[in-house]
Amino acid sequence: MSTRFRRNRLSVVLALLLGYGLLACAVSGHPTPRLHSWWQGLGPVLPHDSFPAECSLCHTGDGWRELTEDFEFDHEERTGVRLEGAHTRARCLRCHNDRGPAAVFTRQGCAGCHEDVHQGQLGTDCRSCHQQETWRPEGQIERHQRTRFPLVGTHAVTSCRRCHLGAETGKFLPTDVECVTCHRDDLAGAKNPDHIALGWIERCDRCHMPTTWHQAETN
Amino acid sequence: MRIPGLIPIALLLLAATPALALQEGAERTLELRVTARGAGRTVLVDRGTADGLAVGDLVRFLPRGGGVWGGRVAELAERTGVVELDDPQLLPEPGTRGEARLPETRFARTSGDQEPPAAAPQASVPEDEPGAEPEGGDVPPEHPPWERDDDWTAGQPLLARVDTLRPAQREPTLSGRVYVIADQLFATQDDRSDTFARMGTDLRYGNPFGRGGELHLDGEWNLRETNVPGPDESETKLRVDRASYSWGGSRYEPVRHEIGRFLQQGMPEFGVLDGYEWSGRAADGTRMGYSVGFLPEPTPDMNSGHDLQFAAFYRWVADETERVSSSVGFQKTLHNGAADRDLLIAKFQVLPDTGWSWHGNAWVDYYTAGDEAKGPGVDLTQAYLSTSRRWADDRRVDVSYTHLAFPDIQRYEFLQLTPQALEKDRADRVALEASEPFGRRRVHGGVGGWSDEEEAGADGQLGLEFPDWILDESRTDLTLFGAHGRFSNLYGGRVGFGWQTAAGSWDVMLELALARQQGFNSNNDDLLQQRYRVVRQLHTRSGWDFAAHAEGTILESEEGFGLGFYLQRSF
Repeated sequence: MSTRFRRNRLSVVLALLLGYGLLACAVSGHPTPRLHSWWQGLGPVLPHDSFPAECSLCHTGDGWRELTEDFEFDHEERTGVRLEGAHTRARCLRCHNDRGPAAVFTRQGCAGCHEDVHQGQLGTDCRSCHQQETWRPEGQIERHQRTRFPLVGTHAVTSCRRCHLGAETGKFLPTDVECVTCHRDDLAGAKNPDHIALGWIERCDRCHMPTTWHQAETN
Repeated sequence: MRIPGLIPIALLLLAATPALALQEGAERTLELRVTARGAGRTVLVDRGTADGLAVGDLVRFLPRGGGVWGGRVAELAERTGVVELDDPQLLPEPGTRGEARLPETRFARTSGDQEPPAAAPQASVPEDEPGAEPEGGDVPPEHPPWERDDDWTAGQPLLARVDTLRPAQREPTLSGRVYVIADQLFATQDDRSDTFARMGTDLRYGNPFGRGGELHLDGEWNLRETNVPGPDESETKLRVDRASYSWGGSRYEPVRHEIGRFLQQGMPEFGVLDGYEWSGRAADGTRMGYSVGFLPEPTPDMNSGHDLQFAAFYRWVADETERVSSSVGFQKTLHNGAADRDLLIAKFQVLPDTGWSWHGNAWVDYYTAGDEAKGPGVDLTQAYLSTSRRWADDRRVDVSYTHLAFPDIQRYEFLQLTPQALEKDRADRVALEASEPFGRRRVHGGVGGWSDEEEAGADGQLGLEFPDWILDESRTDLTLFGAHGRFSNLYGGRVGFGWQTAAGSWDVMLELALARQQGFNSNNDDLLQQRYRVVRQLHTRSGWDFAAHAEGTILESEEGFGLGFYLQRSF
């Protein structure tokens, strides 16, 4: 790897961080309302017909557009629905909005509010891969051990996108497990001996271990 | 005529009705609603003593999904009440309607109590002595001047329902997140490495034109570098995942439109579209719609313009709760102007109250004589069926079945396949996962079986989770696992430790596994593999999230490492 190449990469990473910093500062300046609070521009979006009859739970007596200073909504206590992860920090209107009764959507699970970017291919239990704080998937190699292709050797330290062409757009399936599907260029470059000339174009695992690709390990 | 003779009798009956109603046994129905769930088997309702309720009254709840759930009033305030349910498993959700049948005599007494008392002597205040104490007892203090502007207009009832603000009355809102992520993988052999850095944003600008619509922008700037023997691979890309404007589809507007680049809402299985989608909701909740546009390739480039698609869908729901629904959709694509894919997708879901859920979908491709690899006919290219049962004490059972095969399409969606693989490759898998509390501990595990065009295999794991074993708010997990894969068998154990702190969490994992290559011709087909991972996450209430991770894989002759971080600001 050349020095010029390393310098370019460093420049790009620094530019990326600088750009992010500027963007984050820009959005931080946006007038964000208090969490779990309310401001006049927001609503009310919801009808109040299912709210408690005790108005003073939320409102001051000076005006219905003022909420009490200590207004805090304990979602679990008031509704029986516990908020977890990033949902505890989400603004009320992300779920309670013009779309309709939130209960109808939450009953559908994650897909009631979140796009299913995997297009119905990975099931409905998002939490088997994602955690609710940052939605970042964790532990994919352990999960891969429950497939017909457990990740062994260098496959465990290979970027997902090298085999799953659509990984960055959420599309992982179907994926072929035959070696040649991902290692076509390696096969074409294997000239000592010439694998293609010898007809060695399948069952690479008879001679190659997944710890290395460019030489066969035998006794 | 006999009929006129009945009129006096009817008049007598009408006159006697109030008296009859007051007789023992006459009842009045008081409607109420659940406002919140309380402790144990109790719920709060929006009626109290002022409405005639009394402790011990029977209450019947009428949940939307059907049935009648009973309860009894346990506590009362003037305007609220606490009802204890007969069956602790049947707790109605907030908003559920209910009713109590109350004796009419109770209201008669209440009405009598509220009758104005006999005229009392008016307190007189001499006009020339302002502020003087009036005669005849306490006088309420004078109300301060009304200063607020509460939008009240003449003729409006003082206890009117709260009207929601329509989009035209609301201000625009901006929400979303910006993030930066960097991951570096490197292996000791041949100085291989892989760098993936990205900066992105997911912005939603709501109600921009006062019509309740939403602008959605989701994109990333990527840097990738892969260093392998031979020429290095390096590229930077700007990828736009979503750039659309949608409007409608709300409780006020049954018709929804979306234009731009978006994931199709009516049938997400049809994929991301550069085009337009229309959908409409009927009064009974069923929906139908269509879409037209180009499908971007599901690759990092998301190239568009090659695959024109037309699609339509229909979604049936059993009732307004949408607990039972099914959908069917058809997608026709043209690749560079030539007919390509005819795809029919059907799916369903059933979500009853009891903790069960059922989901399923099936993708059926229809081929004509022009589809040479598979030949004319129909082909089930994907199926997914699952059922889950969850209990309140964290017990759960999930069973799923998956079928996958490659569709014969011209669109660039997969790595290059051989014609034989395209024709024959398939994979079927059945899996069962379960979790069972065992005192404060939890046992979890799963078994699965798979078969493809050549082989069959199975996998399984069994783990025991200990809460608060090492530290408070911590979780320690021991898991044993085994897998018979297509090319290798893997057996091992894993120790996981997670610790939840006020600001985030720690997660540590250590794994030791023995892998045996199945087809290797020589004896050294065993490989001892160790893996470890440390993840630290931090969160703030102001919307910052940070995660850093380090992981490694130690093999016999080489090692691989990964480092990365994730920084996100949500707003």
